[in-house]
Amino acid sequence: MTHTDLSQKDFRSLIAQQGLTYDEAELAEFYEAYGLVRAMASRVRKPRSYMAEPVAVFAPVQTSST
Amino acid sequence: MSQIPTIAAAAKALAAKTISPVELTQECLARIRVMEPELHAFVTLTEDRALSDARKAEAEIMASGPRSKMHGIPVGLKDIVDTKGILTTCQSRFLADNIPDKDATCAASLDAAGSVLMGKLTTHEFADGGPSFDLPDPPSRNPWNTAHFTAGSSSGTGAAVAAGLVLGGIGTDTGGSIRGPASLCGIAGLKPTYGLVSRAGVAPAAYSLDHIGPMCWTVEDCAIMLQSLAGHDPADPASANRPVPDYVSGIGDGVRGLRIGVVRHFHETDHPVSPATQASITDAIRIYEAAGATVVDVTLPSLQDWSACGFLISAAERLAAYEDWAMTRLDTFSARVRDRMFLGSFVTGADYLQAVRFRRELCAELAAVMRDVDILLTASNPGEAPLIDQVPRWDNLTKPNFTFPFNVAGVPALSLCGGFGPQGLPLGLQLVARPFEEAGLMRAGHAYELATDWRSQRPAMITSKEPALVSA
Repeated sequence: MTHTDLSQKDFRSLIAQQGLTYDEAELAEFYEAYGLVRAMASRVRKPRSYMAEPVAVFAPVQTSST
Repeated sequence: MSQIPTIAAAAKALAAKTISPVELTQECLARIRVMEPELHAFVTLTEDRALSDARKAEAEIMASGPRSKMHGIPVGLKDIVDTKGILTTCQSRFLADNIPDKDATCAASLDAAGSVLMGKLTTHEFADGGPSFDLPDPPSRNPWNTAHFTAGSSSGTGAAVAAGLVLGGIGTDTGGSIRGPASLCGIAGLKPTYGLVSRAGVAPAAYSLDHIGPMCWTVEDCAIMLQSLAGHDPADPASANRPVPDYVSGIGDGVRGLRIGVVRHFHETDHPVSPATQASITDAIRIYEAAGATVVDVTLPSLQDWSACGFLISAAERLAAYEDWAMTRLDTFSARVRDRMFLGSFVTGADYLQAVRFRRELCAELAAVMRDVDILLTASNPGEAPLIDQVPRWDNLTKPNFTFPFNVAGVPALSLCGGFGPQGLPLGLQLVARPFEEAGLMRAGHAYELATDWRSQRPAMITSKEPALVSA
């Protein structure tokens, strides 16, 4: 299941919705860049247990009431 | 016009009263007048403030001596650092008229140490993208050859320090923005441990990856400047609450007994560097072995893994920071930042969390490797500076950089000049240490600088401007 693998046509449509204009070469390059981002998103998905926590988990600090 | 002093040399001369802060400041102002029109290192030059700071420092030093080695030293701040009453634009149209009512903690620390504020230095917009030619202020140019890129985003700091417009400057580093310009401009730049230097009052690029640090001509100067910058700050939620060690007094103690791990796969296979950079790394290994260090090869996760993790985190955090503007006024950003913001909107919440889970694993692997070595050695850039008008739009996606891993891990990393390539432009080496081991890291960097003569060479444009400098 993925909601993020856009076709080139859909990607161009989203760019147009933002009112952004590019020439053909820039659009192709932009879509290629989008592909690289999705490849990065795949790369960080390694086999790991559902117990594996992110690095950002923190320890609460006790505070006293005044 | 005298030779440009290091901070260490200037501090000695100021303490001995053989030069005054006013003279030192006027020398910098003369170089700024002559070179700034070509370098564009400053967004805002604060000449009146500089002379006022210098006169105050002069009176204080004459009365009771310097209170720190930064007392009377001319410095510049990247223009994402808030300065009370002084324009702070982040090189963005959004903040073209922004005048903060409070200093960032790092600006206040340098002020408390007695340094002289020369002005606000050029950055990529909100420390991202660049070089951008569609903003009100032009991008900074490399003093070694003004047709070439400085790297970024602390581009003005890199150029200003290399050209002697300031003796030291503040840079910020989210994926390499201190070490990139340090490398391409041939200076030293330290990204300290995450939390060592307060981020309070500095515009965010990515909250969990942002670091503030010194950029200077030498590693010793970085140590002197870090001494004034490090310390706990309750205003920064990530600030480390621990004692600040002495970074300066042991810097000359050498590297005998140190274990240095070469991350060979980073610069040989993950992202092969130029032959000149490869030769520079080989020379550095020889220098360290001759000085009594043990050098071994080590293996870390690939640069591609680190880059994917860092990119996804930074894209999501950056978009979160500037989401209001991105959603309502996307076209007000420079084209490069606008495009990156737009692309960042395709990083999902799950992508971000998977990257943050991956970050824990990467950090653990690095920590395991660093149980056996004190310092890591690799490149800080693949080679010499590219032409400024030929920097690819998606450079950050197509090739993994050498600096991002150490933002992801939050460990201290230092870029230092590793010589010069066939075009006469600087090459960059990178040294890395365990968290909060900046003293040992800078000791290793200083030992390398003493063993080479790279610090005796300044950009030729300074010499070529000598006649104009005399009359400036």
